[in-house]
Amino acid sequence: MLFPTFKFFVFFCIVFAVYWALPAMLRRLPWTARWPAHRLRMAWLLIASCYFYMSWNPLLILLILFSASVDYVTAILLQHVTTLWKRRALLVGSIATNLGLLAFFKYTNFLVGSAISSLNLFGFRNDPFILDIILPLGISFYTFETISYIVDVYQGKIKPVRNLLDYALYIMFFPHLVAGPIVRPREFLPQLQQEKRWNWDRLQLGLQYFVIGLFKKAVIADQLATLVDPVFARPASFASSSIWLAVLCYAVQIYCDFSGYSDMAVGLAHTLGFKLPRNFNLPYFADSITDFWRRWHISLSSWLRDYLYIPLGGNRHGELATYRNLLLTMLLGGLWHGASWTFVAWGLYHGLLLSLHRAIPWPRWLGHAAFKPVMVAGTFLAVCVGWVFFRAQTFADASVILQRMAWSTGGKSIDQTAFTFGAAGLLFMFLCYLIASFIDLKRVERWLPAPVLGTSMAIVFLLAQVLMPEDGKAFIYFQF
Amino acid sequence: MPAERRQANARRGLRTLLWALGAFTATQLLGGLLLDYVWPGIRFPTAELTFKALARQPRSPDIMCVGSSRFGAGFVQEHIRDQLRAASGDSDLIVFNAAIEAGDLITARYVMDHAFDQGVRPRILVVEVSPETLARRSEWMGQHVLRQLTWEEIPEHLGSMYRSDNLLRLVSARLLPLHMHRRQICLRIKDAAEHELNVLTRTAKPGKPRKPRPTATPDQGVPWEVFKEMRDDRHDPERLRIGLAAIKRWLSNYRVGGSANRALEGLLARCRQEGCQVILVGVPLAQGHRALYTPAIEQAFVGHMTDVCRRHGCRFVDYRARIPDEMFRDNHHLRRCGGEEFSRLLTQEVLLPAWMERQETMPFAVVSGRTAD
Repeated sequence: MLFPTFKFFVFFCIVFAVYWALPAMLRRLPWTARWPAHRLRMAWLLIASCYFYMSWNPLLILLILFSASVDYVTAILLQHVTTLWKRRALLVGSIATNLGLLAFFKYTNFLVGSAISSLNLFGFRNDPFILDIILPLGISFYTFETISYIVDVYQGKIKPVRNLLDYALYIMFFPHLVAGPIVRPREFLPQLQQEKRWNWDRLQLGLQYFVIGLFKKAVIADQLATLVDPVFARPASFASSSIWLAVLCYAVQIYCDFSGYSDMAVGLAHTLGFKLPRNFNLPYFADSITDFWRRWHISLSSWLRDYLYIPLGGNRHGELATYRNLLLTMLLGGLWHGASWTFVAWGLYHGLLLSLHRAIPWPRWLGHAAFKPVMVAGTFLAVCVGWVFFRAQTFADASVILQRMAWSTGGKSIDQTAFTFGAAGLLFMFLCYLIASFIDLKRVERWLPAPVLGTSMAIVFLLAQVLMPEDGKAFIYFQF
Repeated sequence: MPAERRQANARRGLRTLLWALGAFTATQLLGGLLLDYVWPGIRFPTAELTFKALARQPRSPDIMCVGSSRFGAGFVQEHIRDQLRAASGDSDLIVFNAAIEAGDLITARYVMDHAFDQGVRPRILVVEVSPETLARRSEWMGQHVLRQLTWEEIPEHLGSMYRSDNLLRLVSARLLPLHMHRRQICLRIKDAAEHELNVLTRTAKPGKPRKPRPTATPDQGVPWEVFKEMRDDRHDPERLRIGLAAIKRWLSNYRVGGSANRALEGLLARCRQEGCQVILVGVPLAQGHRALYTPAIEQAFVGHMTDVCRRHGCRFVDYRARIPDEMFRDNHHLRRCGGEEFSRLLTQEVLLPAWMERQETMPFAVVSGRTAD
C-alpha cells in the first residue's frame, strides 16, 4: 500500500476518522465512558499499522512481532540484571538476533553468491544459485530502531517500556514503518504517553507536508525516472551529454523520491499528533562532504554516528583510527542500503571522501562566503559521482558511465523533449533550493493569508494528481 | 504559547484547509465540466478519432456500422465498399466503420447522436448486437463512466452502475476528473509542448523523424492499428481463455435490460426519426463463446431481438455461428481472413439486397450532402 494510492487514501481516512472520533464514541455509550480513550487510540494505531504491513505480506508481520518481543523482553531483563557480563550478553544476544534476521533476509544470496564467485576464481566450478528469500519490507529501518532502543536501555539513557503495545507501536507506527525516518526511542516513546488533542493548525501543517512530499515524489521523481532509467539500463549506447544529464537527474530523482516519502511520513504523523524527525536539510547545498552527511538522510547518518562510529572509537584514538572508523562506518552504511558490491563501493567512496576531507588541511580562505558556490558545486559533483555506483546495476556499467562523464563520447541522445523536461526539472529544483536557503519559509508561511496558502496547497495537490504517472512507481528506498 | 495565539493559529489552520478544499473541489468540478463539454476528446480519444475520420469523408456515408472492436476487426469497410460498388454500379458509395474499442450499444448511441447532430445521415446503419451487450449488468459501464457519460446522464445509468459495481469509479470520475484523465491530459500537454519546441528549434536542426500516431484518412476511416486486437493476426489461446472467463462472468444472472437496452431503444428511435434503416447484426463468435449462451439466455436474447424489430421496423440477422473457429484470434475477435469472410457474407446476403432495395424505393432525396425526407 503506497502512500500516493487511492487504497492508502481510503485506509488513512478510516484510520484518521476513528482515531480522532474514538473518545467521543466511547463517551456516548454508558459502559465505555470510563475506558481509557488514549490507550485505545494507541491500540487502534497499532491495529492499523499491522493491517498496513499485512496488506503487503501477512505472514511477515510475525517477523516484526518476534523481533520486537525479543527486544522488549531483553530491555526489561536489562533493568533487573546488574552484572556487567550478563548485561553485555543480553545486549549482544539482542543485537545478534536482530542483525541475524537482517543478514539472513537481506544478505544470504549476496554472501552465497560472493562466496561462489570467490571459489570460482580459484578454479572451482560452482554454478551460482539464488535462494527464494523474500526481503521483508522495512526490515533495515525497523532493525536499526530496535537496536537503538536496546542500546539506549543498556546505556541507561532511557528506561525500558513496560507496555508492549507502546513498544510495538514505536516499531510499527505505519508512517515510518517501511522507509523511515529512523525514529529514536527517546524522541518517540514519550509522545505515546501524551494525550492527543485535535489541532486544526497541526492538521493543516501535516497535510501541507504530505502534499509537498507527494509533489516531490509524483511530479519530480517519477517523471525524471522516465529519463534516467533508459540511460542507466544501457549506458554504453548514450552520448556523454545524455549521461551527464541522466546522472544529474538521478541525483534530483533520488532526493525527491526519498525526501518526498519522508515529508509524507512526517505529514501523516503530524495529522495524528506525532512528530517525526526531519530527514533532509537541503543536502545538495552542502559545502563539504561532512556537511552533506549532516543534511542527507539525517536519521540514518546520525544513527550511524551514534551507534557505530562513536562506539568504534570515533575520533578519540588518533588520526589513523579515525579514518578506519570513518571507512568502516560508511562501508557498512553502504551495505545497509543494499546487498550488492556497488553499494559497498558507494559506501567506501563516501568513507574515502570523508577521510580526505578530514585529512587535507583546507586553506582558511576557502571558507569565505565568496567561495561557497564553488565548494557547493564541488561537493555536489562528488556526490553525483557516488550516485553512479549507487544506481548502476554493475561495476561495468558504472565504469562506462564514469568514462563517458570524464571524456566526451558520441552515442545516442536523449530525445529533445525529454532533455528539455529534464533540464527544466533540474532548474526548478535549483530555484527551489535557492529560495529555501535564502528565505525562512516557515515565516513566509505564517505571513501568508489563509486563502493564498490554502489555494497554493490545492494547486500543488492538483499538479501532483494530474502529473502522477498511472503505473505509480514504488519508492526507491523501499528496496532497502 | 498563549491560549489566544493558539486559538488564532487553529482558526487560521481551519481557514487554510477550507480554502484548500474549496479551491481543489472547484477546480476539479470546473475541469470536469470542461472535459465533458469543451474537450470531450480528452475523455474519449478513440471516439474523437472516429469523429475526425467521419468529418473528413467527402459527404455523408451511405452505410455505417457501429459496435465494438469485434466489428472493428470484422467489418472491413474497404471490402464491403468495393463489393457494393461493383455490384450496384454506384462508384460514389461510401461505407464507414464507426466501431469503437470497448464499445457497446451505449457507445453506439453516443456515436450516432454525435453523427446525426453533425448532419451525417447514413441510409443504412449496421448495429452490432450480442447477448452480453444487452445484459442488464453491463461490464462496460466502467468504461462509459470514464469516457462519455456526463452529469446529466448519470441518473439514467445509476442502476446499471450499481449492478456492475462501478459506483466508486463513478464518484472518482465525477469528483476527480483531472486525476482520472491525467494520462490523456499529460499526453496533450506533451504534444503541445513538443509542437512549441519544434517551432522554436525548427531553424536549428531537423530532429529525428518520429513514428506518426495513427490518424484517420478519408478513404479508410479509422485506421486498422487503432484497434489493439488487430495488431497481431495470430490465434492467441491465452486471450481466448481470459476472454471466455470474462464473458462467463458477464453472463451470470443474465437478464436483458438496463442502460444498454435503453440505449438501443433510443438509437432505434433516433434512426427512425432521421430516416435511417437499421440492421441489427449478431456478431460472429467462436464456438467456445457461443457455448456459454444457455438456452435461457438464447431465448431471452432472440425473443428480445424479435420484439425490438417488430416495434421499430428493423431487421435482425444472426451471424454468430457463421465463421469457423480457425478464423478467430480469440473468442470474439476475427483475424484478418475472418474479417474478410464475414464482410463478404454480410455484403452479399444482407447489405447488397438492402442497398438495392433502398435504391429502388428511394425514400430520401439527397440534398447537398445530407438526406432529407
